[in-house]
Amino acid sequence: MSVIAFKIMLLGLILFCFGIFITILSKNIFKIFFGVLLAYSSSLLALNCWKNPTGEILSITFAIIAPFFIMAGMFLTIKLTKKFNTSDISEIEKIAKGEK
Amino acid sequence: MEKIANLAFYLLAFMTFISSLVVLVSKSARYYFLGAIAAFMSIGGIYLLLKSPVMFVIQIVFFALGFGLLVIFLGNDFNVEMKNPINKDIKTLIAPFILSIFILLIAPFLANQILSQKTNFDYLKNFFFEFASSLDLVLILLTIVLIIVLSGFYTIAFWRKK
Repeated sequence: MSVIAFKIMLLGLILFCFGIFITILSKNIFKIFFGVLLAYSSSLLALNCWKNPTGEILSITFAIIAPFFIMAGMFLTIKLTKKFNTSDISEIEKIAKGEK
Repeated sequence: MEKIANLAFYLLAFMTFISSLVVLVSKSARYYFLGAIAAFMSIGGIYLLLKSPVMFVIQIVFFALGFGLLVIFLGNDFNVEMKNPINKDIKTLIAPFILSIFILLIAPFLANQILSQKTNFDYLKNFFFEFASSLDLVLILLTIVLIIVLSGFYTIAFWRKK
């Protein structure tokens, strides 16, 4: 592994942590989705640095699954915002509790 | 050439961090969508440094353009501004804890690697190469099983709804 690949792997690990951080800290559902996607793509980045057969197979498999994952998340967020008319997760919670 | 690659790496890393911070802090949708797209674009640029153009295309098309599609679908909500973009509950203290635990877990490995100035993955390679020959088949079978299970769940859910 070259020096720059090692640096990129470190960056991927730090970005993975940052993605989880954004997911937990944010209130907006788009931001939560962004955090999940950031963690996913940075984990792919960290896997791709490790240039041996196992790492490459794993990264390609996860990259093939990625579009389905993104489309599902997109449709979910769009449906939620259109149903509750907000993207704030605490307001959605309040409305859902009120409906019960 | 190495200097240019290093410079590009630091620039792209800085861009990624700044744009993801913009996403976390911004109140209006105008800024956080742009920040999200910029973050995914800069991660795509890092793939070019790794000389893997296929992953670059996947990153740009699915991650960055996926968020672009969200912008098109939800263009009406752009004028709405959130009062408190960051969640300040006690539960959110879990996030720094998870971050610190993860960093503490990988810290000895990273410190060892940085101090020795050479990256050494021999022990991992020896562990994985025993399974590498059969890993192709296992991965294909796993994906097939996953697709079957998921589609089964969806059909059962659809059937129960009716």
